Amino acid sequence: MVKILAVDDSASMRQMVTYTLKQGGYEVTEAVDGADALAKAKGGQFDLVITDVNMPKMDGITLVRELRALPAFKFTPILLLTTESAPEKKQEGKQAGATGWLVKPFDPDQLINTIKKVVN
Amino acid sequence: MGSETLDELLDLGEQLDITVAAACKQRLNEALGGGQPIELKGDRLQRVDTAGVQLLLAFARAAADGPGWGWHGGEVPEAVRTAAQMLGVERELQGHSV
Amino acid sequence: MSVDLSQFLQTFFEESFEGLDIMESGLLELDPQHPDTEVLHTVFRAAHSIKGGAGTFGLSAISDFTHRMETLLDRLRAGEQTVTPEVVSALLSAVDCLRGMLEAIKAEQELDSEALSAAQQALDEQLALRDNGAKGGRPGAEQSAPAGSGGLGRRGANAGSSGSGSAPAGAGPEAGEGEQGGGWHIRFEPEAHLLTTGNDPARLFRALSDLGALTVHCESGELPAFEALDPESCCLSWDLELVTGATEAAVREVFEWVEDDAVIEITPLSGSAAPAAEDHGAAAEPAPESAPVAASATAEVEEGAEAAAAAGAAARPAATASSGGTAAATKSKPAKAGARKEAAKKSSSSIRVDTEKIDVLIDMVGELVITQSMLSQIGKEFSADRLEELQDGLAQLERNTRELQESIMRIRMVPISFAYSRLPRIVHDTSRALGKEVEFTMEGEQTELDKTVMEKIIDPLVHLVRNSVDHGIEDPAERQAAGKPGKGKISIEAYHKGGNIIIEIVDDGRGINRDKLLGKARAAGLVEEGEELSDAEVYDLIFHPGLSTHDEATEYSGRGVGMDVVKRNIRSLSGSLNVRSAPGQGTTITISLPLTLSILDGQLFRVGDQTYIVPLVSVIESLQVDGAKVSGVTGRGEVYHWREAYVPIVRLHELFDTEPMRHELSGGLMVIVEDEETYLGVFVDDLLDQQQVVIKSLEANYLRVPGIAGATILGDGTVALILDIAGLVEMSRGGSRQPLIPEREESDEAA
Repeated sequence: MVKILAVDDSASMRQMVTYTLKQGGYEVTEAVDGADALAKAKGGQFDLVITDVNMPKMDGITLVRELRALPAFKFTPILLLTTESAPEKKQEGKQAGATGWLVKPFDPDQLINTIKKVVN
Repeated sequence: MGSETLDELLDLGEQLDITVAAACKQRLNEALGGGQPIELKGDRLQRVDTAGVQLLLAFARAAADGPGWGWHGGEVPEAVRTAAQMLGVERELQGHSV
Repeated sequence: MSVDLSQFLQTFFEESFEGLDIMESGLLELDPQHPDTEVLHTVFRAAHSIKGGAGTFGLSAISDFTHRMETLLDRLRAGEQTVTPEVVSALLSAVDCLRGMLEAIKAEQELDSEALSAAQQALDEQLALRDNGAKGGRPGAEQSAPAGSGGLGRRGANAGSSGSGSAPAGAGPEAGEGEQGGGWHIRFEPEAHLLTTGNDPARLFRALSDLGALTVHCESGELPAFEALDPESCCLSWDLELVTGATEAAVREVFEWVEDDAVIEITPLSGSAAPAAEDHGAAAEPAPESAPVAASATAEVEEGAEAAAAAGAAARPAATASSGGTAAATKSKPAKAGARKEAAKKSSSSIRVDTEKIDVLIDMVGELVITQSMLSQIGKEFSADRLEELQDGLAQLERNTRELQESIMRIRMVPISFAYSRLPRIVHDTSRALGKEVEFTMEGEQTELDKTVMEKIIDPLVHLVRNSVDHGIEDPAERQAAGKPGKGKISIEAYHKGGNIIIEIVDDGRGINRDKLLGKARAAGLVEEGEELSDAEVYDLIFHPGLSTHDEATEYSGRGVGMDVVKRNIRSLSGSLNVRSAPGQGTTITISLPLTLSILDGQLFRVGDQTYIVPLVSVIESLQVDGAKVSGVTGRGEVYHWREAYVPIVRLHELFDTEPMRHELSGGLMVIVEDEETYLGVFVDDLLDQQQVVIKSLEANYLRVPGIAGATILGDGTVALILDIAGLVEMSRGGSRQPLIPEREESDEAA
């Protein structure tokens, strides 16, 4: 099964993302911020990371950079959850090594369609 | 004990994508150096991406100029065929009969 | 896939309220002279999260409103706009407004449109400040700007759901061409690093083929010889032909993530291979009607999704309005408050628990299971020589039960910081309104207490702190005249002491005027002329209904109404209040609360045929009464000479009108109990065990009885009463020796 690491500091967003992805047949691990995600990434294998940008402790952009430095995550697709109000984060994210992004707000279908762009 | 059975058989495993491309290139390169026709086994392949297809393409060209190559069982593995088709290179990855 | 988003709302509300608290405390912390960027980031992040969640869960009113706050906060943190007290005030009222909106939505009620537009206007005024200087646009323009500038369909679709209402942005100029043309030619030359970004041309092409019929030509001339190939670099490029009715924007969207990692040229397909540039304007010609079937279907889906999102966003407020409408129309405001209360009651209360606490719990349950299986094994093959084993097992069971109980209680423990959260705002608002300057500090935020206690202590704390600002702290001029700094100090501190949590509120204000207070009490007939009271007794009068030393009532602390309620609330939590004050130096109010309301370690004893319990923490010692040390004091009953002081003696049988085994004090047993450093000697017939008891409310099951905190059921099924030491102390002070059982309980067995 495709394993996804979902990172967001908002519990409701995590719930929504996790629920949707599980419905979509993916295996999901949650992380509450960048630091938590990095720790979990080091302890496991994931086929995709989907992360919020604005988070306490470690933001999404830094997380991408840190993940890309790990051999196991050198090529792993990483998607950023960006927002309308911060389009510049997309470029910043790409430069850090992100694969792509999904703009908030999104609905479950958009999420699944976006995931399908990078994993089976 | 016919000499035909001495073809080099190389199992590609489950994955032929960018995460294993470097390692796979190593194995293919060794096989090319052996001088025997090479038989690729790809029936277990699950994941094939552009990097994988590109590697196969370069390999196919080198092998065609050298010892020759083909798919084990003659059929192009499903995962390879789909990706190659999508990328417009399925013709060169048919494999020659060895 | 259909996912019911409403299932996530409860969590969204919870985290939004938390976010609002974070915003509020952050804003209050902000010093306009030296704004802390880290604090601004935190406040911004909280607003950002609420907006994001609201957008996702279809609460467009919330996301629109929060967008304004976010925009303003973003400018503040970027240093584009100065932090002024006015901006902070506008943001604080926006926080209040947002809280109200969330509460209304949660309770499925109408939004308070007046409050909303006032808060919105205050924000817009602040937003306009910079706009006039730098941009010259209306604040509203900012609102729709991101949507308008978005060149990509995805962004447009999202903007639609957040209320811009415009046609999908970016689709504009290209839309016509796509519909007329038969499709697109795409030149795709990835840069070597493309594959390492997690993007894969094969997937991109698959996405394209979803838009129409795709033909792929691979250009592999650049592919190096096998040996020279870097297997992680992309050395191929492609020419693609897509027969479709999809717009250029839709095609471009497929390549959205790799725009900077590849050369992407998209030109309209035409029958002839005419140069794209010339054809660009006049692609009308070939346009076979049959071709773009798949593509237009896609477009429809997209629009459909958008419409659905918009409808979802609109549906909630509408539904809210109609369900709230009936009540609101007939009864207006009071009805609103009532309905809210009801809704609040209905909504499930939840608690966030550290996973560590749960893990501990799981471990304990594991041990309990082991003990259980051990015991049942002994039970199956029991013989007398296994008695010791059985006793060991039972001892282990007792230990397990106790540990399990303690761990479960720990789950209910939350840090008092939740109760603190409203206080800085209260101090800020009250001192500002009264023209006072106050430095407010909070300590012991992480001190834990039971969630129920925490929830019930919030209002009393708010009241006490507000009272300190209003009555305690003097005007700056008055302070300076008294030789004190113009800025007053109020601090609140919480800590654990024994089985209690102590909360102290200290101010350095004028202190309580003892004589004035006592004079008022005498005038009101609460204290008899000539009767002298200790300081503590006098200060305690501030909690008496109807007494207030402040000459004019203010909007903030009212007319002596409230302090009695504070005391009642704290007493209902089995807590107590103590006031110390020094004229001109300030006042300290100490609240003592039990850590939990439901279980206590008790000392059992008997008077007559009744068993009573006192909290073990209140028991100082048990002693045999030495008749020589008993003496009578006029008007105060009997006292006992104990540790160089005189302790009032309480005879429970007199208070509760029961028959004791023993009347003679001398040689009998007495338990010395303490509450807030006041001591009592409780005369008992017999001392029994110490054990943990589960507290049952007497009030809920019978009625409130002075001096009794609750009841419990003992192992043998009988009911034992738990004494309220603070209440007994008060009763002994009041000198009341009358039976205090409420009127309806007449004792028939007077003999």
